[in-house]
Amino acid sequence: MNISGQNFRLGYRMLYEASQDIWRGGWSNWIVISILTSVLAIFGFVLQVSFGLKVIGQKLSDQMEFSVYLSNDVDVRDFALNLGKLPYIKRVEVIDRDIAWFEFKKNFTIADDFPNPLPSTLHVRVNKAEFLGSTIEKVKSLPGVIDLNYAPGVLGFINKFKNFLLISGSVLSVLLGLVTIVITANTIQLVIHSRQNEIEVLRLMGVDDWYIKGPLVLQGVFYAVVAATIAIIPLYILQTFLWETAQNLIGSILPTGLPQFQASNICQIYYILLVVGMVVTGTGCYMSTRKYLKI
Amino acid sequence: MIQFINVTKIYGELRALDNISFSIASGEMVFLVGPSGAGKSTILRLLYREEKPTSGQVFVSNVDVSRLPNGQTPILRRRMGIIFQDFKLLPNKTSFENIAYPLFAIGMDNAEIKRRVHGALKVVSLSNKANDFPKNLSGGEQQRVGTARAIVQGPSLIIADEPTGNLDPNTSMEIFQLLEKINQKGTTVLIATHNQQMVDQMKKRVITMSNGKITSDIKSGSYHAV
Repeated sequence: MNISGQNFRLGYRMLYEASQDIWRGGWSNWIVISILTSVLAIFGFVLQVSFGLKVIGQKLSDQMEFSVYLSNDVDVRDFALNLGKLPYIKRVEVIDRDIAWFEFKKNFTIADDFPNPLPSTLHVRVNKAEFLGSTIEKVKSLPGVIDLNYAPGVLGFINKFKNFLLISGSVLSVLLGLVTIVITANTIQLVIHSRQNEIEVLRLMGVDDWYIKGPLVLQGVFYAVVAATIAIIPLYILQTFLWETAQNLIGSILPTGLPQFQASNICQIYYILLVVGMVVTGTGCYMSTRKYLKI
Repeated sequence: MIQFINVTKIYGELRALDNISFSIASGEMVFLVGPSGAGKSTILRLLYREEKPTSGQVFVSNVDVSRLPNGQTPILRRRMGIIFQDFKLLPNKTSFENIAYPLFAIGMDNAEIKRRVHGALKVVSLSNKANDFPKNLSGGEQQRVGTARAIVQGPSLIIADEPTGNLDPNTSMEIFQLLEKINQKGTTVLIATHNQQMVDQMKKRVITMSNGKITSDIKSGSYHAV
């Protein structure tokens, strides 16, 4: 027998057996797929946000700029002039509060006589990133300064949020993953039971073990592929929305903005979901065949 | 072809086989007879390695099957054909598909499968029943399909465990004559049976068992009810 032809035929026939098993599974297939999709969607969301926060965090930590908010009784230009004389300050940009309010009102419907709540703002840039911390401490203590907006502060918040998301998302994913493993194992068990006679005949006629187990494994792979493909759709939509929102929000801190959304990021997440899905269904198949398939 | 050397098989407190030894040469047709619980099925299960002996050795074609790694068991079983009392046909497959099923699973090409299956159907005289499902076949016809499946891979040994247990006397005779015809082509045939009448008529070698021991082994023997 030609070996490569034989292997091709075996592969094709195993796929055919797997498709028959899936057909026989009926609605129970969709129970596995729906729960696995939920697991992968949650896990994918956690990954997505973590990756995004990592990029933002990286950008923030590279920044050498911070914003200073002044009280209304301070002469902004005078303050800016004096600030520029401090060591390590490279540039000071004045954002007049009236101009800022005018720009703000363009995007929202606000009554003309509504008082301007915005403070005067200075965008300050230091010579080197290592001087950022000490400069901020100095500027904080200057009279007339209401608040500062700077990367380390935001970065700390982002890191805390990222850790919280990772932990809670991971716990939820693991719990749902365990449920999916059990349900997959039960579904495969039903298939084994329905094919009991066939499996016994194959076994006694000298068919290799992997031809008997192979279709069951392929069934698990099918679940993983379908679930990952369904899960990635809302993740893709969410990623474009979240990234745009992040760009708008981070704009005041990162004048250069964030990198453009890359489709390759979502492809990476899809491949990870495929692998995770196959690990989950593979574990379920393994448990079921070990317990119920006596070869 | 087959050799049992001091084989004992114990299930819990039950001694199913008690230090038995015998050999079967290539091309022989042998009946294994005895009452229920004598150990006949245990001998067959040891041969196709469904069980391992508690002690002793079992050889098939000079291979010690008692020490065979699990991964080699399928290869051993491809060299033998097994016929069952309850036929073990798949109800949702035709006669052709039932016979072809093991050949599909070892990757044989479709043309070769077709040739072999039609050849096997011809041997068992069921060429006109290739497209029938088991439910449309009589008991004798189903067992002939089971026999065709056992011979389709061209094995050197056929093992039949009570092949006529569910059949009437006339049909039983047909099955035994079919097995004799297969044996005449050179295949070794070992049949475990209660069917005293058929054993006496066939005048083949008869190994009689009782309580896990061999009580007689006669070349052209008859059934001795113990």
